[in-house]
Amino acid sequence: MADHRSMLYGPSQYIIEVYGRLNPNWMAHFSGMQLKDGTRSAGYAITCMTGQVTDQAELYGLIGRMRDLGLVLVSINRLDES
Amino acid sequence: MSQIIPTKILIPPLNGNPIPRAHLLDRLSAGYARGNVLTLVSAFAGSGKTTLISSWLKENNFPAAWVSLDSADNDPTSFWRYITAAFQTLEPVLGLSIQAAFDTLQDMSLEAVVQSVIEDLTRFGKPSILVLDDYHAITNSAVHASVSCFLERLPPKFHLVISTREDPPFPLSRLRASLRISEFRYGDLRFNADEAGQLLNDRMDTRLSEEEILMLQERTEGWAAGLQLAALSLFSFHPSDRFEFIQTFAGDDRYVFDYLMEVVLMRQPPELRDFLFKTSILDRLCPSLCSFMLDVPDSSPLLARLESQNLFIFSLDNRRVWYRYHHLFSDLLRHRLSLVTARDERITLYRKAILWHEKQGLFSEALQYALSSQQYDIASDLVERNIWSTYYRSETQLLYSWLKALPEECLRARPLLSAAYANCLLLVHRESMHAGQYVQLIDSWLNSAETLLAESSQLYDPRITHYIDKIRIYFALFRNADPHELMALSLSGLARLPAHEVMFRSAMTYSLGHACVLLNNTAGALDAFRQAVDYGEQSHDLFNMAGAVERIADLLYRQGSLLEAVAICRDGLAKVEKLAGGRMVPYTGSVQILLGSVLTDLGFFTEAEAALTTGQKLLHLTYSPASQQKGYVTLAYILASGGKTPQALEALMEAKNISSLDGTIVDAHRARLLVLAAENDIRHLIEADKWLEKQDMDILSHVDENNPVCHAIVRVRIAKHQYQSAGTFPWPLLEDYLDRQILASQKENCPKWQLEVLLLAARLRFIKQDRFEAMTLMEQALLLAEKHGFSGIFIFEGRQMARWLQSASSLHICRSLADHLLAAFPDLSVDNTGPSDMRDAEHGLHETLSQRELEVLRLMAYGAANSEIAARLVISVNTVKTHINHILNKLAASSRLQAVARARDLDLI
Repeated sequence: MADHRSMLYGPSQYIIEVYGRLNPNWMAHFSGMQLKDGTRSAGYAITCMTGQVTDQAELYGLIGRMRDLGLVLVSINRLDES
Repeated sequence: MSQIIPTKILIPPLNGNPIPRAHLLDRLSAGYARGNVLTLVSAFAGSGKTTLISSWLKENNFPAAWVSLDSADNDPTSFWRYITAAFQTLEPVLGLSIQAAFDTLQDMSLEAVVQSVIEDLTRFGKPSILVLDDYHAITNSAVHASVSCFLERLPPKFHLVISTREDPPFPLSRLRASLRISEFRYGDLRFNADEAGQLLNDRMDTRLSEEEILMLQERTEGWAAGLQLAALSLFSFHPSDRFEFIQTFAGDDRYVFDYLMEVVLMRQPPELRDFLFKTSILDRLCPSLCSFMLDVPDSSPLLARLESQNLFIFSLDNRRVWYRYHHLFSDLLRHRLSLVTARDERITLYRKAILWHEKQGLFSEALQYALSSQQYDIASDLVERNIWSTYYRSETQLLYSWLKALPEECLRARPLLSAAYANCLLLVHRESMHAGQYVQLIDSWLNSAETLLAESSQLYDPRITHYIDKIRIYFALFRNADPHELMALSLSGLARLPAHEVMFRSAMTYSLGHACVLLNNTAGALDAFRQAVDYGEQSHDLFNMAGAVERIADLLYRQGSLLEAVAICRDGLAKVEKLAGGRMVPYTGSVQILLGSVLTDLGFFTEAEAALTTGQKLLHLTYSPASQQKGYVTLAYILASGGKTPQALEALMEAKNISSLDGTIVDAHRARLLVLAAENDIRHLIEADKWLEKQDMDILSHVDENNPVCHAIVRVRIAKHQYQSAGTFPWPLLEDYLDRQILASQKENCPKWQLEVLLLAARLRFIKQDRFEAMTLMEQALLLAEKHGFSGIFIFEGRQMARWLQSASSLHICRSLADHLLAAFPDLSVDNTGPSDMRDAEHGLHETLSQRELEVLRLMAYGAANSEIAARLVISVNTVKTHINHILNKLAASSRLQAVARARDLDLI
């Protein structure tokens, strides 16, 4: 349990999906997250952002920036270490 | 130095004619008319929130105050400073009382700020609206809490509008449940096909078909910013190519704004594109600033062109001076800027902005740009250049916020900043000095500063050394260091000051005076404090001036020079007022309280009350608990002597609620006033007796100082004997105590103390039926009173004193003074009122509730929470809690519910 906790607060890989397609040049704006086009099973287009986040504060900062751009959040998922 | 950026509190002018959205406007008006507390507009950037609200205000001509928030407003002081300033556009006197507090570093709780604003608004009384735009910029939970508190206590005719991109973290569910909130969410704000048509065709003249409009509306999901940008991008195309563009666009999944932005930008002429990129880093633009940034002679034509093309630029004032870009637009511009330019180039742009703003004296903005571009060295330079001016104006709160914004390394590297930071910490954490928490921290910062000065070959501003000296002196003072140490520090600090330097002199002589007082050197203290006043006058150090005036007056007061003390207070207040040039100086509150105390002793109760009330209002904004407590206690005496017992007890409650102080002394005064009040209602004596039972009578045998608790013990015991005569009366203990007290007070040369114990001793002799002794003591007392002018203290002795004074008069003992005092007694009836039916009261069912308690009880019956009761009765929450405790006790109830039920049973409510 204790191991998980320190992992969760530290650097983690996150996958964030937003509605619509974002130009790849947004990578820099989102801390070097990799951007990939995708489609949800429901049929609408999304952009999938994957990348390393230093901690929760950075993650919330990213989400805040997405809010400021008016992006629609579809999902936020942590890629747990295998 | 301008504290606020004026454009932040202007209602944004409308850009041309906005699309009339009648259904939304009607709903806004309905919510306001219904008396809702809050309108929440919560939707994405670019949904048209600001336009909607400002067009609503304009159309109805409602009186409104507006604040456009940004991240700097996360500093609670900045936040409330702007709100106050915004309200002042409606009514200039609103919030003046807090303004003074904002300038100086107060440990003023946000709750006190909110309460003060609420009180001002309540007094203002006219219906008005406050709009907080871009509320999502606020992330500080303390600010959120204060707004939540504000919402709870908002007076009836006021309405708050919050415009934000994310829901604020207030407990909205209660408001929603009670239907006192109107909400507008994205679903409400999105443009339907009809409105889209109006926006595109009518306003932007795109001449699209219904089908095309529908396609665009669907593609942008009715997003106002998207539609607007779509219209702009259409202009880049030949009319015959437009449909194709729309089709392609409609079929594309790319993020709308980015996609369209590219189109729009690519088709702009190069000089316009260049202009957009270079000015994108600015929060606010004006022609002169833009010209400077681009190195062109005149940029007004370009700005005008942008505005006419609806390129997401808004005028901030009505004079076409200041503009800003729509956040979304500038965000994307900045993003693109970062793609096409190197970091160095961007830094240069920021530097230009900083330079221009500093030259214009727009210091806060310059600092903001330095901080947001992370150029901390430049930011530190900026702050350093402005430190001394903040010192003179006591703008310590502002300075503290600047210092907190800089990284620690920057502060540690510069002695002036280290010292200033230490000073701010010292003032903020004044209360915790004795506990040692912040002592090490402050010490470390001062050491940093001193080390840098010592080991560096650089030539530093010589004032820094003296600044550090001053801080160390006050550090010692607040830490309650040994008076000799304080004296030594003060003297050496003064010695080091060059002759012409007036800057820190007032503060240092003040501390010297304080050290003298601690060492019982009254003459030295008076001398030092007088110098402090003079130096303060010379250097405009109003803080130390006011403080020194109070100390001088206090010393004279203690010596019995009452009239001189009054003169000193009045002169001092006049001098400070003149120098302040209209600005309120909260520290003068202490002087007012002292003035009130002296006037009370002189018997001028009306003037005393005025001074005390003024003093409390001022002190409310600053940190001076001892003065505040003294003020309330003195007021209580005045009220009690006029028969206003409930109000007097309430004032004592306020005195007790000044949390940082010990309530024992207030309790003692309370017991004394209860004895006085017992003359009219014997039941008060029961309460006094309860207090007496908790005291240890034995302390009387070894206390030789002027201790109000001991005096009160004697007084209550005597009163008990007079009314009850039960048990053995401890004559020896009390007589011995009073004899010792008389000697001690004579030795200390403290007339007021002497007078009090003489009268107490006289009282004891009277009930012992030893008239001769009693009258001898009365004579001594009267002579003493005559010499110094004491008068009030006789009134506080009650009607029995009046009888004794009459005896004195008839025996020709100080006849003229005795007669004069008799005349001052309110409601004189020299018959045998007094101790008689005390015993009946003990059979009473319960003590009656006071008027105030009944009011609280009624509100409780309506289900009001403590905070609501506090707001209604304009008292503090602590006072409400105290009232409720009393109510529970008096009704012998263990819960509010029970209390209300009992009250109803007894037909009290």
